[in-house]
Amino acid sequence: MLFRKLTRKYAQIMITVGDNFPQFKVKACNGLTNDDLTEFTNDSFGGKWQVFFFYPKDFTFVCPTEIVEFSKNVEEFEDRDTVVIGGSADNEFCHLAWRNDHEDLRELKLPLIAAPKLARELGILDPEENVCLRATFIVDPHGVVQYASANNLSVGRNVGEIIRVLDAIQSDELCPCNWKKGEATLKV
Amino acid sequence: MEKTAELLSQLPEEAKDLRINLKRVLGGESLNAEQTWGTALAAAYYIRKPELTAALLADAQAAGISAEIIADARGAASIMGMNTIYYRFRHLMNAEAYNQRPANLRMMRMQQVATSKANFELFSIGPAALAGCEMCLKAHEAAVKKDGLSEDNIHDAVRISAILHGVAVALEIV
Repeated sequence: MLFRKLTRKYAQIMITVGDNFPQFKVKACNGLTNDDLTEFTNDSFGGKWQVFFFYPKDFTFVCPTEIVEFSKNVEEFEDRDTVVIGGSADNEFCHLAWRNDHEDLRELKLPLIAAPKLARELGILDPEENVCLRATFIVDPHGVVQYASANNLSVGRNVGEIIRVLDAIQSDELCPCNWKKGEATLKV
Repeated sequence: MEKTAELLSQLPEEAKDLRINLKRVLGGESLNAEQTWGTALAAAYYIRKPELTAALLADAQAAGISAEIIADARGAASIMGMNTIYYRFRHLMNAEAYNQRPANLRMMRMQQVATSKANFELFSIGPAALAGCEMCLKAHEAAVKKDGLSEDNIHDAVRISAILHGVAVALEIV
């Protein structure tokens, strides 16, 4: 752990499973007007699970497809007590302009955060282009990362796969019926 | 318990014992009012006899039972509707091939209780008994005791559930 902490200061290491999601305070665009510019911190999600997905740049082609796909599935995530947050290293005004400019993004049901600092702390900035990799994090209600992945700049994500992973993470066998051989408490 | 009494008056003469039993247990024995009505509702939801459920729900609300208790009864009945099938399969097969596989079933509601773990486990006892699975029953009985409830409490929860099952059967007798 100490080694990871020290090295993270000097070189980029991506945050992974078991790490705390970094402390953050970011500007965000959550609609189509200046009034929809808002702010998020770690405490904004009221004890819910969080899915953060990052993409390289506003005003590019692969990105809106993915973002729209996440947005279409917002209810699926809500059912799983999960909020979805998109983000890139662009600023909130850029997000706002893009949402107004791109027809598919007008009805977006999720916020886009302006996260250059957070992206650096997550270790997901492409060293050459200084933009976000297509990184995805599932964060539990305690702020601990339970899933982390990154695609290179040109490979889109499968939202169904993120939901599958989320289901698997949340599907603890909590029922006392889940008795396994060798556990002492139950004699049948 | 006006609505339940009204429903019970439709029972045939041959099922008179059940009418008397249900009125008595709903009056409360070792369980307090919330535990009694929560247990009864969870069992009724599990038994799936709509007119019985409706009568109990109306009377529980009239008795001032909170929405949270009712929500936990609903949660317990529906999760147990799934788990008594799935885990009974595992228990009956008793095969490593299945025991070692993750269930891969969501059951978050067991953790996100509206009132308390003790209530949720108590409300699960009736469905476990109704399912007739030895291991489910033993597991939930142990869990209820671990949450601090007594054998009298468990015994009464099972009596309530058993009576309701009998009433559901009797309501079908024409």
